[in-house]
Amino acid sequence: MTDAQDQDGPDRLELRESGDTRLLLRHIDEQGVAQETPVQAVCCFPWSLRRTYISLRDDKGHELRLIPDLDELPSRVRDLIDRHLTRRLFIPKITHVASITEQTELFLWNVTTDAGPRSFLTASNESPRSLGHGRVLIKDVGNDLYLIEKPEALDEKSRRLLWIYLD
Amino acid sequence: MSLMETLLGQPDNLPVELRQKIGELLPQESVRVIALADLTHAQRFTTIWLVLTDAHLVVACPETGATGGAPAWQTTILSIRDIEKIETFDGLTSCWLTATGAKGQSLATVQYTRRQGRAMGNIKFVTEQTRKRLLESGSRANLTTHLDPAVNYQEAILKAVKEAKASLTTHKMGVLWRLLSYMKPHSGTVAVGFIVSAMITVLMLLPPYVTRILVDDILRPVEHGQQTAAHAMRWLWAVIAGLALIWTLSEVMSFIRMRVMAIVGEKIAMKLRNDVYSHMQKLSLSFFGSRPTGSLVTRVSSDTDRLWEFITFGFIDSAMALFQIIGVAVALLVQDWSLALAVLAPLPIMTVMFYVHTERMQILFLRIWRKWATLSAVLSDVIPGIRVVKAFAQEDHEVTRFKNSSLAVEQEAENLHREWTRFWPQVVMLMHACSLIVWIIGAPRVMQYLVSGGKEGMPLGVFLAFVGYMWMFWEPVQRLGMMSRVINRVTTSASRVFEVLDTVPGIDNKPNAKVAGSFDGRVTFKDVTFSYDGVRNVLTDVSFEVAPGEMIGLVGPSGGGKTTLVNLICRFYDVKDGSVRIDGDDVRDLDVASLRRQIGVVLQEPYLFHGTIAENIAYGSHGVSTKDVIEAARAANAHDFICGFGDGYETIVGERGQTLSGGERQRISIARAILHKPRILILDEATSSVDTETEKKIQEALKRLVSGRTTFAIAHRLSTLSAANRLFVLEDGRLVENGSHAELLKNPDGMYAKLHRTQMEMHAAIAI
Repeated sequence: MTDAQDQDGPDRLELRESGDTRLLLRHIDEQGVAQETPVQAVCCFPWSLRRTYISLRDDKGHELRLIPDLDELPSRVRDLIDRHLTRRLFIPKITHVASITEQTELFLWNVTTDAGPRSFLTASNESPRSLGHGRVLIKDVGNDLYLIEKPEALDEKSRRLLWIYLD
Repeated sequence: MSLMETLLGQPDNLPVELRQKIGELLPQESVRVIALADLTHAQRFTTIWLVLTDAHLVVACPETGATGGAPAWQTTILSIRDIEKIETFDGLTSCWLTATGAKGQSLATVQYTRRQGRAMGNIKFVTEQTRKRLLESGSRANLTTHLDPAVNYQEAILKAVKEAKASLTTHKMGVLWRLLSYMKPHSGTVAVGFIVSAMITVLMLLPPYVTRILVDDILRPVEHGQQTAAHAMRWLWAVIAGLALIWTLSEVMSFIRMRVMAIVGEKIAMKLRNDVYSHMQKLSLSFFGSRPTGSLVTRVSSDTDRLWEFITFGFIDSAMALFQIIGVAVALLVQDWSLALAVLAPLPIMTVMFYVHTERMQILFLRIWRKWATLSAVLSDVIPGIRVVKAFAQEDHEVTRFKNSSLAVEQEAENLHREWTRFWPQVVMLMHACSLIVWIIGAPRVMQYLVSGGKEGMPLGVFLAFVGYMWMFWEPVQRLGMMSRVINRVTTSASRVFEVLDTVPGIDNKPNAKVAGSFDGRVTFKDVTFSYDGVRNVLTDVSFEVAPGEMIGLVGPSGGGKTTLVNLICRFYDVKDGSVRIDGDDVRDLDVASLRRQIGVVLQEPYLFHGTIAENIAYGSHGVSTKDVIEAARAANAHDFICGFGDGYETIVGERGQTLSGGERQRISIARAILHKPRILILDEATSSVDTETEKKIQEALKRLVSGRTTFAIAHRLSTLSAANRLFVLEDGRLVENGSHAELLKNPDGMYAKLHRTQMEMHAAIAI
């Protein structure tokens, strides 16, 4: 188990990791009793502000702590939260599109991502969502997400195939 | 290759080697559930298997560095007894499952994408239940006994795909053949359509040939003085008459063809439409539950209409396009084969050109359609919210937003127009180029013919006929180019329609089903176990007997199985184990219609059909008089408010009709149930979401409805069940308590007493 503590200030953040899966936050509950609660780190603006406004919530969905800026935390706590956020917010990034074929009512995508090759299906009435800064988010029928960071930076063939779906 | 491999690039079962290895490691146990974890902790795609056996959870990772041959598997075996807690967490795309031991130590963590979520949920659920069974011997878990791991895993993964798509295994040609088989009953008419179409094609080949006769056999001989003018004149008139005849005939034929095929197409579409709709009515509730209403509506309406279009025009047109191309080609080859080859050579190029153009236009239409959708989204977003826009003085901002989407539409339209404005001149150019080839090759040969006095070269008439035939190529070539698009559209529609027709109704009458007589209303559940998905039991070993006329209140936390229980009485689903009996007869042995006719249902959100109030009250009852309707309405406390409407009982309600409040709709549905005279009554949260005054009126109405009938009432507010003879408390699919209000309160630790206390406290808090 790793321990990380913010030593300065009245709002010290006592956070440690249990096993390799849960974050445990030490806090004072409503009755004024100090205790340790498993929390999840949730990013308030997952698409635009990855490092600010991180909410630590217990399993019932109550917020125990809102961290305004991750980078103001001491490195140990920051790295811990960072690691959890990375896992939670992971989305494969499409680096190459091999084919998009129309199946009855569905599109079958064969792509390469930064996590390896993948094929997935999208519903024909579900269009990709634009996230600003040219980024495009694709959702497949199983609700998995795929990100294209810079469509214009992809290779010629990928761009040609994507052209139908992108603005 | 299996469907899962082609569509998702994911194996559809455990690899053989792994199955063998697990068999060797745990020889006494069989595999119960499997799931795939497709992410490593470093967030790379991988293939890690989770295998749950009778008493162990196996995590199998592919051995790194293994090259060639069968991959080796590195296994971690956990005893289910040691797994204190098994949890799943969802991220955006990556999710994870962790197993924790008694001291809070992490035993295993696997990471996976959302598509594996359902299969992982099964692992979690079955692990928990198995552990319960292993630790508390004697307690039966909410676990179905017969699981086929591979089938369950595949269903879990493919469920999302199936929800988005009509049918997974469709071969285009197979679907097309099946559609054509619907023409069989009309084979005579279809044959007429075909023959007439073929004749039109042949007739259209004649005019250029007649031109040739006119020039070579009539005009030229006169020019050369080989014929007298008077004689030629007679022939000339004959030729003109012939042309008139050809055109008249072909128009008559077109008329016959259109008329005949349009009507046959309409008949076939109607048959499909009726078949689909009446089959849909037979299907179980789960069919409707898993598909959006809109998709079912389009299958009956626009999909069948599209099939009409194909049968009427598409099918014969495509066949005729081929026929015409072959006809023209033969005609050309017969006239002069060398020139014909020169003309035919560009044909494949043109077909490809048209194909590419159609595909490209399709994409452009799709893009422009999306831009239009954005534009109308802006409109339908802002116009209803205009008060907010004005209050925040955002008019300028909204105008800019609109202008931007408007600009996007305009730019996309430019692309579209650029495409077709470029394409058509190209095509016409190509057509002229072909004409030029004919002229370049043909004209010198005509000249040669004239110079040689007809000994060699090409007669003028043949040349003219050639030019005439050439122009007949374009239309069928264009149609061939669009064929793939047409076939795509039609097979999509057809497979959506056939999917409905191919779904087997879950609930059907047995061949010798007994028509139920009037029920006394004794309802018996014996060891009833039920599951919607084949893994989780929603009801487990529920047994009870309800006497005729008794009123039962069903209480318990949501998801406890209350609605499922009443669904089983109506036989919307069949039990998996045990039996549901009414007056001693198993509901599965009864005629479904005769069973449901005697069950009345009042739902939380009553549904009124489009029509008058009187029609809605009389829905499902036959041969009722106006007096009966009024009496039922009176008993339901609905008469007074109905008379308050200008149109009285003839007020139109339902979609686009008079808007009624929730309480009013509820009382109409109670009147409907009263008139229906059911022997068994089901009230599903009938009084929630209305004000106290209305609730009192509904309660009164219900009291009249309930008297003398076996009643099952579901309620969250326990106060509404004061009239119940007995209360059944359902928790996690089990009947945990059963007795009268007073009896149940005697046990202060009981579920019911707890529920009661919480609600009393809440009531007190609100009263203050």
